Amino acid sequence: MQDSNWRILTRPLIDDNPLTLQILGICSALAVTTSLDTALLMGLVVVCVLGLGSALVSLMRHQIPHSVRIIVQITVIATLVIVVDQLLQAYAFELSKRLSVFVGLIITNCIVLGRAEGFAMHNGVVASALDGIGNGLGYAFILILVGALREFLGKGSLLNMQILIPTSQGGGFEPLQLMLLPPSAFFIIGGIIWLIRRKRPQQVEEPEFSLRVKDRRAR
Amino acid sequence: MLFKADYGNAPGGGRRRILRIQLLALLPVMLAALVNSGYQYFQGMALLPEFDGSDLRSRLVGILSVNPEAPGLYDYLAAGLAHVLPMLLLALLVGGFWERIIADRRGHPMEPGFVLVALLFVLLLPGAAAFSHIIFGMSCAVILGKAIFGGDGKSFINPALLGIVMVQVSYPAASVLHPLWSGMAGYAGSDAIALYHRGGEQAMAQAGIDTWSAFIGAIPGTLGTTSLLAIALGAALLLLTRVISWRLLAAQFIGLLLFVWLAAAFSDPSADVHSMPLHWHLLLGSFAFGAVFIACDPVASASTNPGRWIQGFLIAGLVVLIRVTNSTHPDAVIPVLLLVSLLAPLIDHAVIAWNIRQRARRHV
Repeated sequence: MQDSNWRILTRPLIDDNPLTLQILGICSALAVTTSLDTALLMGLVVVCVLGLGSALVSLMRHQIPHSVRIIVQITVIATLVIVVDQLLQAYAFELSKRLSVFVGLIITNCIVLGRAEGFAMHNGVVASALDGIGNGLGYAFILILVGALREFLGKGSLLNMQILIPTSQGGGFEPLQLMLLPPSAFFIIGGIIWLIRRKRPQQVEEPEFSLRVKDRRAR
Repeated sequence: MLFKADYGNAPGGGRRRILRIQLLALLPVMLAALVNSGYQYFQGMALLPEFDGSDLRSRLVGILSVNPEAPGLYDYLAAGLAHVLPMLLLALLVGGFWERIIADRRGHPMEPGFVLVALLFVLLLPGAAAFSHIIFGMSCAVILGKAIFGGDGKSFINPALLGIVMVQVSYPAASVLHPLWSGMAGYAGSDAIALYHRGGEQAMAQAGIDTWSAFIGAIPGTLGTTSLLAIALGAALLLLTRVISWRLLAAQFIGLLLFVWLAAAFSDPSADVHSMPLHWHLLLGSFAFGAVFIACDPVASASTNPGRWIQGFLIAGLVVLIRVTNSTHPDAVIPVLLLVSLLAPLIDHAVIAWNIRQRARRHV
């Protein structure tokens, strides 16, 4: 069954989101979301790498020998990531320093390799590019949500613009230190997954086991 | 018997009976908390001339007390009530609010467990905790600690413990000018033990803390954790009704004995805390409270007998280790309990796997 191009682009946003349904790319989602600007930049970088990577792999798919396909995919992705990393260091040095190794680690991001192997190897260039961009956008969407929430609750600001004045400067807002620590991203992503699965019950997994209820409570 | 029956039909009885006994066991602790927080309030007032007493709780003290110049037992009780009651009411209100919403959405009657959660949560807070922090902590406790795991009796950590951890982690730099709040420990509230860390026996003598005053609970600290006497009364009730496991409780105290001895044996003579004697480990800080009311939570603790011994020793060992080596966490009980709660299912799993292997070997 062939999905329409529009569906390929939009499906990974909520219905098949790489972060909240496939639980991929969690590591970088914890690390780069302390503020909104790093989350935005990271999202943008992943969209570029995923879109271009999927398109290139799709272009080459008939030439790639089956036995070495993963190596070829990694080479394509690594090339793109290195180019993007160098570009960032040239034009946005401060931000790239704050993203530190996490740009380089996109090479090992399961989403990128997963789309190349799972989709681009069997589909045309346009569909592959759209699929890559869609998955990148799905990843970026969650990243931006988490980044905005963490920066707002943890520092009272958005994109480094102070919105609520913290108590240390005489305001009435008490920053939530928890939000600046990595575990808070776990809680927030967990909360987002909870919300999405309430709205989309088909995403809920079958329970692996259930408790035996022995005592009869009045229901 | 290696395996005890599960929580639903434990020898102690059904859930509601267990809850009633747990609440009853907290009664002496609550009473001690009331008297001691009032006592500490008037003590601290004298030492804190810049405190103006304009907050809600201090104004309540002004209304309730009869003789604030030379306070007696009634004034202590009144001042304690003025501090604890608003906090407890707020915690109950917040807990009840979320419980109501969750019960409505899931279509079952309200579960009563949040009352115990609120009580434990408040007893682990300093008497001057900000109301907004109580709302935050209690919301975390009921939603993250209980509701998402399926409600009463299904969570794998004590919800009140989670609430306290969230407050401690979220507001490490919180500071208020109040007699029931010392700058030493913040939300960890382990003032007496922090004092020992700074000055050893000398500091204890200077602050007027002796074994007896620490035993009855006339020392600064979080509300419910100061009085070993009251905690022992509660523990006795819980043990007699078999709501908590005597093995787990015994393991923690025997473990404390053992590890304190070990710490002293390998101590650096220049550091006082390494050889902090056993009675101070028990009397200062929140070890006893945590051991009885949090670690022995019938839901969130290990449920195999060897698992209980392992869990108890693990708690005691980690508490002593952190206490004597890390002065930034003078009390260490709350983070250790959280960690060990998370490990409890793993411990059980290992014990059961081991048991299965032993039995299989016996019947080749």
